[in-house]
Amino acid sequence: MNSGRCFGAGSALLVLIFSILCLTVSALTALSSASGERVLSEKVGSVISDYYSADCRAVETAVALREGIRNGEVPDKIGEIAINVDENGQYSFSVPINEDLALAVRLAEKDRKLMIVSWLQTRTNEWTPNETLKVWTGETVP
Amino acid sequence: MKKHIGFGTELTLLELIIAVGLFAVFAALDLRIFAEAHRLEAQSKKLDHAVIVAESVAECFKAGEAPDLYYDIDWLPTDNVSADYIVTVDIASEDKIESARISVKDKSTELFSLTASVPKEALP
Repeated sequence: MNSGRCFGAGSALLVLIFSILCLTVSALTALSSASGERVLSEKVGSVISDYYSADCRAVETAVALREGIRNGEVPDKIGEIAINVDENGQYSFSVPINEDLALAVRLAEKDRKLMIVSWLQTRTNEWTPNETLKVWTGETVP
Repeated sequence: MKKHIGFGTELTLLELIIAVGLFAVFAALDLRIFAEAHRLEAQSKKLDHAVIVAESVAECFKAGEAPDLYYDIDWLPTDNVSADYIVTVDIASEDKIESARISVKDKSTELFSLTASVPKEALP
């Protein structure tokens, strides 16, 4: 009677290969997820750092513009940043944050002082909507 | 009666020894991968917290305050004696602009830093 060997020869190896495979897949998934998280954290840090660098340049530009206005002379350009004046007498300029984003600043003059109208992060590259999916607009009944 | 131990039993034992050995080797490798994943996750968690704290301090500085902050291992505010993470603000004053270098450090390294600036005569 062979009651001690209910599993055939090699079953231990098969179980082992399966458990090693499970363990390895699980470990690699954890590593890939952690690596992705690390890359995302670094990207967020880089964007925040770039934003504050641009904010510093915007502050410098606004201060230089204020000094120019006090001296009675509005410059066309401060450093590499072009100053635009619109029909309402508001000054605007844009400081690049990175290749996709810019800090758009709009200032208004009041009693020889500059007031911040807007200080916004905007997108510089064009947004192209995806129109490949046909959606029923309700105009015609199919 | 003589107990018979056959070739099949020896083979099973050998097979089990090989299986346990292989499992030990691969488990050790997988444990290293798990440890590396844990290290990366801990680093990114630290960096996330450091970025959030630095941004908060930068906004405080722009609003007129420049606090040095201390955090414990769970990123909860604490005193400077038991702090695991320290936020320092180094202020540099120029002609018309005041700038601050905000640095978040743990005990040995700098995790994140940024520079914020504000005009001395505030733009309203």
